[in-house]
Amino acid sequence: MKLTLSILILILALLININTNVYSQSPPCFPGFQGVYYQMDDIVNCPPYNSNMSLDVFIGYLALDSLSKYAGYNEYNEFMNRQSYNDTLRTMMRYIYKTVEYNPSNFLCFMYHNRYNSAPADEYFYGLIKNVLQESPSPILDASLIGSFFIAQIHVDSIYSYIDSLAQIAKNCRDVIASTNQIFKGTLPSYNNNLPIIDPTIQFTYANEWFLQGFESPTDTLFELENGKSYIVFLEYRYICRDSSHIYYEIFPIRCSKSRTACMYPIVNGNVIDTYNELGFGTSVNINTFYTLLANRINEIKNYTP
Amino acid sequence: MKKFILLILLFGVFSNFVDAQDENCGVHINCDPNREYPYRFCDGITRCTANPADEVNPGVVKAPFPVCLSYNPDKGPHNVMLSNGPGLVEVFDDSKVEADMHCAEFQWNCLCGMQNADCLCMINLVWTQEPKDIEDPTSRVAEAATRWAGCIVKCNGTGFPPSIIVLNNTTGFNYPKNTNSRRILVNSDCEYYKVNQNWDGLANNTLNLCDIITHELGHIYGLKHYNEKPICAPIITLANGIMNSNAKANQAKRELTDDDKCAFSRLYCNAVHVENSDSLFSKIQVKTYPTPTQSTLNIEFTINGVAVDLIFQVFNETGKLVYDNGYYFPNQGLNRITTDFSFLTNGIYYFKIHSMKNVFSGKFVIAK
Repeated sequence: MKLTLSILILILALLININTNVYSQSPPCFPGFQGVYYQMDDIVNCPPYNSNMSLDVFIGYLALDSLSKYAGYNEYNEFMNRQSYNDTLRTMMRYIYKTVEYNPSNFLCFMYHNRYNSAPADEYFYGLIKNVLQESPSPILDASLIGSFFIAQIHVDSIYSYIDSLAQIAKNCRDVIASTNQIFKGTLPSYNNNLPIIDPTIQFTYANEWFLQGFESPTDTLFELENGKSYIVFLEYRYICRDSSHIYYEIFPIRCSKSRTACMYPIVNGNVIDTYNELGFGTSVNINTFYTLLANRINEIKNYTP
Repeated sequence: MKKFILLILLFGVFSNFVDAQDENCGVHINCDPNREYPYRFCDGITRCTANPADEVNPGVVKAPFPVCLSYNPDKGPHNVMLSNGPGLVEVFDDSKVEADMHCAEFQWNCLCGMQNADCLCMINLVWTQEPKDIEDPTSRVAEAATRWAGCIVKCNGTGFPPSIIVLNNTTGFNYPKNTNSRRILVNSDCEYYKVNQNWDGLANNTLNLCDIITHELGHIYGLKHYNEKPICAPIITLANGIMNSNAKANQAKRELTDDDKCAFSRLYCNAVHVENSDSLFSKIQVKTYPTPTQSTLNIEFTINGVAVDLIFQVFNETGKLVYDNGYYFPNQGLNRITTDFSFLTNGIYYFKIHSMKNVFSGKFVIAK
């Protein structure tokens, strides 16, 4: 029995090793792709309603699906431009936060399939983040919370640098393998949905060029993660391509919230360092205080009632 | 000999065409002097201003004018994977890409009479298959990666990374309308680039390449989207300008609107004569009184044609909606809207009265 179990674990470990060691591999639908990618089974039902989801998640999918099929993005945009940080915006934040959090991979899948509608759901999703950035009193914090698929405290185990020969801008890339200490939103993505997760690690990619905003100032500098150090990260899933049964995606630090450090904040001597105080918690905050403040804000968003 | 004459004739026709195009360059542009447009300022923030050339500390990000576009055919798209369509297809013809780049350059240069000037800034145009290159690769047709130093755009491929215009060629960019479609860029004459026109998916999903490049080049020049915040006053979200963020499918090349022309020429050729607009503002006589007012404002306007339902809205200086009366049902002839604005604080406000097709607007002052 022990032997069988050991062999089974060995096979699983081998499979995972093969699958996660993707530096020299590419998804079958994207020959030449460089970097870490994830694979998931394509969803059959779209939107991915199920009887276990909460009413808020159901409404979130229903609203996005209806908007994409029946509304015009211009009208929606005009409507949203008239909103301040009011009941409408805060209620939308609640629904979308919960919808993404419920099953991030399915949300990505939904956005892919929904793109065939006249006004795709991703335009509404990223449009909402843009509105949050413009109206929220804590713009980067709220936009990062809404837009992220996965938020966690991580410990960097290894960094692999490479030049992406396919890229036109984001050439200087880093693939990061990190263990997760505390997860605030989402669940650890598995390389393949059918395999169990053995180690609580996550792999993601970032590019140096993202940090160069354009204007020359002290902030116009590169941001690098370092081996052996801990960080708070806000990550998003990005679609790469699909084949007949799978969707392939990669994981980036969130880009749409306009953070100067792509929402990656180092933890030094037990304090979270947010050099530009983007999150509004201070430039150096005790990790436990940070946990509390972040959890409070998440609860405010998720439980908002007008 | 016949061939020689034919060539002369063709040259003559072409010359006339060029002359005819140039005749319209650098001429008077009608602008409403009160109308503001959004620009990218040197601190990276978008603000509205009616006088961009006068802005200092921070000023508006400018590009050395005129800008030329370059294109390396080796890095062009050539083959595009239409994952739900006919598979791998050769899409672009290099010579046509060149033509559309010049089309975009000409649209802006012509406004200031600079269509024949030597370019002072070279910006590369590239296609990318890599999702990392685009901030939102699933829905964006293209992005201008505008990077600047000392408030001047980094040109000529210099800097790390340089300013660049990226066109989306990622596999994820694969919508909309139906499962056999992908948005395809076409040239100015609406020809498809080496794509079988009989393929169903193409018919409803074409975007004009010259328009797309013109829009992105507008960003390089410092212009921002009209239909995103900050919304400038008087409200211009209904303007059908090239700098609106939503690309329109299935259309031939668009001409620059008065808004596009004014936004650009105020920044790059302020010497060009700008005069008051002969637009709806003067065609429809609008009278507001008293102004400044403490609370009650009367707005009078005359409708000479068929009266249609109107929407009456008021915005503050930052473009936020502060009053929305919903639909207003006017009469033919003289109309008066009397509204109590005692709930507003002191300041300048902008009102907009618009139908589905037309909009007219003005401003008033609350002083208590």
